[in-house]
Amino acid sequence: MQSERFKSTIIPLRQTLFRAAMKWLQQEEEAEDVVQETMLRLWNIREQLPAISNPAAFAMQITKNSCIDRLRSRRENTEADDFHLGAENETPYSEMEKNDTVGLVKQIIEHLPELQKIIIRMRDIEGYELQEIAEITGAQVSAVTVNLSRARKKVREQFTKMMNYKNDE
Amino acid sequence: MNESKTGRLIEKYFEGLTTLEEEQYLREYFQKDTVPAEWEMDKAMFQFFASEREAGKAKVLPKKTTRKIYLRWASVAAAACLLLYTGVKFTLDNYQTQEISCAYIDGKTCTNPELIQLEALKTLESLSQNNKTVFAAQAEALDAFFE
Repeated sequence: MQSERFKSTIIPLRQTLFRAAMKWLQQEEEAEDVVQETMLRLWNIREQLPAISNPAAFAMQITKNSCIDRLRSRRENTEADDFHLGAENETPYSEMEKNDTVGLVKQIIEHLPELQKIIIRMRDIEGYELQEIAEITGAQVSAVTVNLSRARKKVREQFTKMMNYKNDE
Repeated sequence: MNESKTGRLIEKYFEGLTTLEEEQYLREYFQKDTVPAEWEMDKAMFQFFASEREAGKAKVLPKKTTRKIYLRWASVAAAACLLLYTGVKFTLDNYQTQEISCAYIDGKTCTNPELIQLEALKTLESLSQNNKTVFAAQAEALDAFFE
């Protein structure tokens, strides 16, 4: 699917998807993130989209799944926030060689929230302009910048934490 | 670029405010073995992105070469088809002209179509004349019988 076609068929679904996400999550900021995430996921599989008979229903399903993931992690976070972080520090990072710092970065990125993971990959590996990402998601450039910044800072923070943890061992 | 400028770029990078060119500069900068201690923790991240980008490029390249190989084989196949076609057409054409215009007249091979046609008509005519004399003889015999 060409980018023009993507913009004319997928982006108009944005409002409907946002309303659905709002209904499930009851939180504007998270609903907005879910919609951006859905748009980027669809963008990454745009070549296969013409083969899907009902793109609107398909997009809705992705949105719904993202909402469910978020509701689930919300519950886990309130139940055991610290434990969750601690557990992630033990595995799978500790299985890796101490000097494999590049592999550690890869693991940290894999564990980022979905939207941040997609944005950091599109920017730092695939080399998209922020303006392009904003057009795909139908969001403001500032919204993309915020998520990119969060992703990069989180990688640094997690990496530093992990390295200190290993050096203390 | 001096260190304080690089430091400012790193700060901008984490705010999501660097351009693609500035990010390229940072990836190249962090390929160094030693960087100031304060940026040591950022090294792995930029090295990871640099290696992923290289891997992405490497993935794209073999595709192009396979396409070239396909094209090369396709041109060989096309040339072979053309050769086969002209070869078959040439032999068939020769074969057909021989079949049309070859005849044996009085034990001799003749390839002139007009001559063959003439000879064939002559033969037919003489055949029909022979028949006429046969019919005439039969008629005479019958007349004699009824008389």
